[in-house]
Amino acid sequence: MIPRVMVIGGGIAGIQAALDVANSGYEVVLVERLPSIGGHMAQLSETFPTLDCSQCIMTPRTVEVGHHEQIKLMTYSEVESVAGEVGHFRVRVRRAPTYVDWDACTGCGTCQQKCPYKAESDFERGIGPRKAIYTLNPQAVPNKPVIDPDACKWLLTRAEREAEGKKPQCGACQKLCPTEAIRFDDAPAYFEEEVGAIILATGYDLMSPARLPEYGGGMVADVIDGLAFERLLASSGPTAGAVRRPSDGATPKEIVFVQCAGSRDPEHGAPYCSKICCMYTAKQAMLYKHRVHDGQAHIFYIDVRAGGKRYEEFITRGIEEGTDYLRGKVSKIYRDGEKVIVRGADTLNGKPVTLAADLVVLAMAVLPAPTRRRSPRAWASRWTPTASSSRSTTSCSRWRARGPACTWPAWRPGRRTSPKRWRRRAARRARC
Amino acid sequence: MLERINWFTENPYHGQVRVVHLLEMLRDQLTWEGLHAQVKRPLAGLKVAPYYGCLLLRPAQEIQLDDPERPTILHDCMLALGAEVVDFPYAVECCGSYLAVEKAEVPDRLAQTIISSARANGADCLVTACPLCQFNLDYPQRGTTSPAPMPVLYFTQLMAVALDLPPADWGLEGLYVDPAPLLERIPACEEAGA
Repeated sequence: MIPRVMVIGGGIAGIQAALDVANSGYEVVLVERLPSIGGHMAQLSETFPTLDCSQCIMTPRTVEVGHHEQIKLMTYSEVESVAGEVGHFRVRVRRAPTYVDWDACTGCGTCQQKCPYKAESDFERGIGPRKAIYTLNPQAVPNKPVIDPDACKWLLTRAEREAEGKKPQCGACQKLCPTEAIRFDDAPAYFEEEVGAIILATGYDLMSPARLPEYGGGMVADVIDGLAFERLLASSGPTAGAVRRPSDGATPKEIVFVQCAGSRDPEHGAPYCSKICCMYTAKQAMLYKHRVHDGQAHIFYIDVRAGGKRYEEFITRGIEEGTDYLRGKVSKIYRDGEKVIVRGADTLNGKPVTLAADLVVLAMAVLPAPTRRRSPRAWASRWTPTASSSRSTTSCSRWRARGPACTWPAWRPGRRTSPKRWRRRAARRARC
Repeated sequence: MLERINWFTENPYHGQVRVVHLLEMLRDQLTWEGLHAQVKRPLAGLKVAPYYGCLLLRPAQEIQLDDPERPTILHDCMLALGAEVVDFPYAVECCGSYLAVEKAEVPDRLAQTIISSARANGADCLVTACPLCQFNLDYPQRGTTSPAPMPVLYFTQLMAVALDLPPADWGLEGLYVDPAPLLERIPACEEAGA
C-alpha cells in the first residue's frame, strides 16, 4: 500500500482534510481546479451564526497548506483519469497552461496592475471584472497569477499577427515583469501520481438563475444569486463591501430575498432542501441592514430550517433587527422601470402580495459541483447579468442550452414524445 | 381510457396522428428564413408585443413547442415578418380563458394588466397565437377611447398583411379594436410604391 493520499478539491473541506491527513504523518497531494485554493469560502464575506469573517477563519489554513512539508499542492490542475485499486491508484493529472513561470514569479502583482485587458470574473459571480492576468483574490495561495487565454490580447492575436510576420499586440506583462516570468509558449503539463487513497472534496455550485426564467434569472440584471450578493457584501469584493446593485450602481433600499429558489422544487431539478439557504439568507439580510441602515429586507420562505447550535437564536436576532419574513412562494419577478417587481403569495394571510424591490437575491439550489468539466476556466455559473433582456432569435436554443440537469426533455425537431411513450405506442401497434 | 373512447366513438384511434401547430410548421418546415423570403410588405416600424398565453406552451412536457417560461417562437415569427418586437413581462400570463363566459370581470381585469404592461413597454399592438386570447384581450377594449385602445391581432392576420394578400382576406372585420389606422402606417409594398 502506498502511504500517500490525494485530495481532489481545494475548498475548505479539501483543505481541512489535507491538513488532517498530513498532520497524522501521511504525504498528501492536493489537486485544485482553480489557480488558488479556498473554494467558495474565499468568496464569502462573513459566516453564520457568529458573523466571523470568512477570510480570517480560512487564511491560516490556506497558508498552512501552502507551507506544509507533507502537502504537495497542485493548483490549476484537474484529474484526467484514475487507474489501479484501493491502496495503489495511479492518477493522471492535467495542469492547465498558466503562461507564467511560477518558480520565477515573486507574486509582486505588477502584471495585474498593468494589464490593460479585462474579463468577466467567475469568482466575482459576474458582479465585477478581473484582468486578463489574474489571481482570484489578494490572499491567494499560491499567490501566483495565470493568464486567461480567452481575454489576453497577446494570446488572441498571436496566430494572426505571426502569419503577417509581426509581433503580437500588447505583451505589457512580459515587458514589465521584474523577474521575466511570463511564458507565452506554455502548454498543458501531465503528471502521474501514485496514491493509496483518494478523498473527493469537489464541493458544490449554485444552480444558475437562468434556470428560473419566471424569476427573471439571466434577464433582469438586478436579480442575482446568493453568492453574487456575498461578493457585494465582502470587503474584498468588487464594491469593497458597499451594497450596490449591478444595473446602475445605486444603493438598494428595498431587497427581496427568495429562499428555496430551485430547491424543494421537483419541476426545476432539485427536489431536496439545500439546507444552507435559510441561514445564509438570514445572515445576508442582517449584514445588509448593518450596511444600509434605512434599507428594508424582505425574505420569502416556505419554512425556516434553522437546525444547529445558536441557529434559531440567529434567525430571531434577524427578525428583531428588522428583517421582514413573509411565508409564501414567489410566482413571478420582472423589471418595471427602475424597480424589480416581485409577485407572490403570503400564505399566512392567504393573499397575493406584490413588492417593488431594488434588488432581488435568489437563494439558488445547491448542486454538486460538476466534476467532469475539462477546462479550469469553465467553472461556476455561466450566467452573467445583462442590462437588458437580450433575446436570441434562434428559437429554442436557450432552452436547450439550459444544461443536462434540466427536467424538461431536450427539444428535438421531429420528436414529440418521450421514449417511454414511443415504446408503449410501438407495443400497441404490434398488438393491432 | 383509449379503449373506452374508441368504444364510444366507434372510430378507432391509435394516437398515430402527429398534431402540429401552424407556428411549429412555419418554424420547422418552412423555417423563418423561408418565411422572411416570402414577405412582400415588411411590417417596418410596427412595434408588436407577442402574447403567448398558456395553452400554446403548456402542458410543456406534452406540447414541447418552446420554452414555457421564455418562449421565442412568436418573436421569431414577428421578426421574420419584419416587425419590431417588444418584450413585456406578461407575455406568458393567463388571459382568463373561458371565464369570459361565466365571470367576465376576471378576463377584463387580466386584460387590463396585460395591455397596460404592453403599452408601458412601448408596444403598438398585441399579437396572439390563440383565438380565445385574442378575444379576451380585444373584447374588453370595445368602445374605449382613453387610453387609446390597443389592437389585438391573431398572428396570421399580420402574416396576411406582410405577405401582401388582398385586404379582403385579412379578416380584420371581426376585431373590436380597429387596427386599420395602425396598419396604414406600414409602408406599402415596393412594387406598389414603384
